[in-house]
Amino acid sequence: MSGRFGFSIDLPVRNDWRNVDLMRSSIQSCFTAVFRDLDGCHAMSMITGELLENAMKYGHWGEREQVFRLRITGDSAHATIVVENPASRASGHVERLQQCIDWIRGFGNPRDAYRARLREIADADPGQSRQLGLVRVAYEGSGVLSCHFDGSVVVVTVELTL
Amino acid sequence: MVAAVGVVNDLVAGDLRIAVVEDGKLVRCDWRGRSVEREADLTLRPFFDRLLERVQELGALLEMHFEELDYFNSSTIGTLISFIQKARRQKVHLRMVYAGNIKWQTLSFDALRMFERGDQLFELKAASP
Repeated sequence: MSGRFGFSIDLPVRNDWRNVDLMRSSIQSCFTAVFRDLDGCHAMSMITGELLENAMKYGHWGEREQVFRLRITGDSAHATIVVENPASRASGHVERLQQCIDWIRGFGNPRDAYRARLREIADADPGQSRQLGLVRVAYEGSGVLSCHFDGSVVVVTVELTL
Repeated sequence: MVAAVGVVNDLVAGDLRIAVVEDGKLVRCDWRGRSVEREADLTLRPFFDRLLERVQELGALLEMHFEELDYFNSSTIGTLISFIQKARRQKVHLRMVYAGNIKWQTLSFDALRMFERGDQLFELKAASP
């Protein structure tokens, strides 16, 4: 842990939708107690919320495997948020995840990617899948996304400067 | 004969409350709490549909206030975009007011300015504290 303001959170999370907002608001409260920068605290909690939502929506949940992991580390200048959850290549989720990250990187800046995704949503049928969460992480949270798949677990990492 | 829609009740869904107040040619909705449903469409779309019918019936302006909202997830943002599009198709004058001094609200709502077309059917307004 680096410096006076170094922090590290490492938690198992039960796959229950109510836990998304419990965790998100807890993260916000935790960091509000530590840092003066409320916008940075909101960015971290929003990113956490969107990553947890994705893990619950698209994770490969068997009967026994109902827990996944959240890790947040950093210091006063930088944070890394990691969510890892069971995944299956056959579901197409891992491929879509990587495609989305590559798609965001293909834009000059995250704002352009976000606006492009909003336009797609506006032009689509209301019921269609929107996949806005990760683009929001990049735009509103200024987070730099990456992901890794080891055959059974997908790890999504977001780096942000505070 | 077309049946009247009648006053639209407040929406309460989990930690979200949207209070609806009619005042002449204005229908005002105040969002409070957090909008964090897994599928925001399921909760919000029926409410929005009733609102649009009511606003059309009154020939009113629909003003949505988000200043007191603590958080919404990306599912809610997607539902709001569909709502903006539907309101435009139905020629409803929709104004969204957000807290101009809160960064996340400014980022989220400023991005929606791409749906303003200068015809005043859809307007965004940053409220000062």
